[in-house]
Amino acid sequence: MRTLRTPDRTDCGSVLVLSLLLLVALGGLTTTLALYNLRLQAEHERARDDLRAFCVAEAGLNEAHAVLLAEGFAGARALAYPRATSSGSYAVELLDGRDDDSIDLDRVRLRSVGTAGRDPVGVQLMLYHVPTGKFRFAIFGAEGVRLNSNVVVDSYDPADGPYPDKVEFVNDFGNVGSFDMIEIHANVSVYGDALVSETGVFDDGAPMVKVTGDQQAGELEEEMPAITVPVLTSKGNLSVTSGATIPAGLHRYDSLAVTGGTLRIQGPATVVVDNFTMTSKTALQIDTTGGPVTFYATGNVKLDSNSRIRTNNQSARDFELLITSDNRKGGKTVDLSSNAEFVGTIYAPNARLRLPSNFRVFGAVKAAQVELASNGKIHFDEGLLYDPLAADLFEVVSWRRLSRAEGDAVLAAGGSLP
Amino acid sequence: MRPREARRGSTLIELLVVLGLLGTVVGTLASMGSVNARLCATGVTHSSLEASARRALERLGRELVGARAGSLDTLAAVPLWQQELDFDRMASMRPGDGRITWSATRAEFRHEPGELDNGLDDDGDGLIDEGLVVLVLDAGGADEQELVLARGVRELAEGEQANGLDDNGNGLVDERGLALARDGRDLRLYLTLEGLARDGMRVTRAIETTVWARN
Repeated sequence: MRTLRTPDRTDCGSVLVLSLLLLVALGGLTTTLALYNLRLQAEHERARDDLRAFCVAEAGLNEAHAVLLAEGFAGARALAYPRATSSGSYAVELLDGRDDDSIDLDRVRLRSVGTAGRDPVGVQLMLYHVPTGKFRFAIFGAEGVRLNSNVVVDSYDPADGPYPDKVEFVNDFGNVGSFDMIEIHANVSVYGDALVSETGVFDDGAPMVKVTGDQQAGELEEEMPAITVPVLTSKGNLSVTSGATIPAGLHRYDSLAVTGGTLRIQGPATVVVDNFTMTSKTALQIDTTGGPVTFYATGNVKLDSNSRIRTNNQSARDFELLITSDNRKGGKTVDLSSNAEFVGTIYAPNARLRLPSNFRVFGAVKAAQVELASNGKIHFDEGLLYDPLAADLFEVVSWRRLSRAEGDAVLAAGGSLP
Repeated sequence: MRPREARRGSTLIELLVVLGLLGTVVGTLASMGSVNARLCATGVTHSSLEASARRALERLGRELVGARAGSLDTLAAVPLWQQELDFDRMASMRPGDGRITWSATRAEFRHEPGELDNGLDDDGDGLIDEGLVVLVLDAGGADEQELVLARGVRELAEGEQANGLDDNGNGLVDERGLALARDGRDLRLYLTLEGLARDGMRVTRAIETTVWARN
């Protein structure tokens, strides 16, 4: 009995064991497959969520871009973030180069970060804020620019206050441009770009030349429109021998000669002068307290050395000196040999201007040809770059994905719009 | 004594029945296991191909979305296509003004080493005329670098035959395993990969995506 029953039990056990082994093997195989599929599914879902977050970020970027184009900064800054969509949410950061030194003055940066359940994805659009002002170069000489030794060209923002004393430079938007040629002598410092057209040339072989921005030949668009002189009734000749004031209003003189004392021009005023002379030890005081002054010179301009020009404005937009004369072929005389702390702009599309070392400009100079004497200084007023009355124009410069850290920074700021 | 003999006979029958049942169970389980293992292997290969194709197109798409749009103008327009593309890839960007430095880049189909375009399995891996998707960074430059984005690229796209027709209905005619085409401003990327499962079964997976060059 016992000898027969014992093998019986052994057979039954072996079936169970074999079955269990097979089940375990199948279970292991199935589990492995399931885990593998789960991993692939997770990868697939992550890729899907990344794509969704990317699309959400792109939606935010395109919305902000479209609003910026249509409604300008005010419209874009009025958008509230984060904004939710059916796929996720996004936040957009807008940075204006005029408010932040981390990007160039004429740039606007949009950064959009989208989230859709997992890691955020960010994208960036860099825009060129097209200058609408009359000046975007500190010095532009259509036919040539010569910077003699030790000249300094830089920029500053008058909204931050007057140009500070005893600084090497303030900002690096002191651009110099010419269609034909830029000649730079020793120890010149240009805190900005030096640009010539595709056919233009640089002469910059002198030692210790510094150009902090781009120095290149390429496509260069700069307008040199003819000056439209307002038609006014002449008041004849004005000779100032011991001081005089031209009050606010419209004035035209056949000649204006300052031979003694100080001539004061009160803004708002438009003054048209055919021949303008200032002898040594005389002064021209531009008072823009009441409004801007526009001064047209259509004939000879001769400002002797030791004559002085003073302006009391802080914004270069308040004073324009417009010279229509052409002195390049021995015709008219355009001689700006005076001492000046000149806050304003000089535009002489037909003239060759030579500014002496003690003619310091806080604004911009644009002429057919421009030469700065040794030790001359021109500080571009960044407020000239944009016309406050003109609509903002933007062009896309570049697009890229943001790094995770850059995206996190946008989210941490809540898509703030400074 | 008789009852004892009867128990002996019944024990033998029981043993035979048990052995029979055991054989049936083992056979069934073995059969199920074999089918399951084959399905598992096919599924794994299928999933693996899909993941590879997705990763390859995602990488290529990332490069193309940041590419200089003007450098893509020469890409063939649908229904034409091409399996190599030279374009300008963003190498770096200046943070201040956003200006981009471009780098010549090439994406192309290339036959796998040992494989020729002759309709034969030259390298003996069970696949015929299969190839690679290769991304060449800084193409022609001093720092040229080649990245293999995908292997096992099919000679012809899934469902496509070399007959001058759009067999798979995707708008392209006789396209290859890697096909790149322009549709307006959109760039359409198609990739078909194939591989062999462990049981020798050929598995194919096709992926397509569309990107838009932003620069």
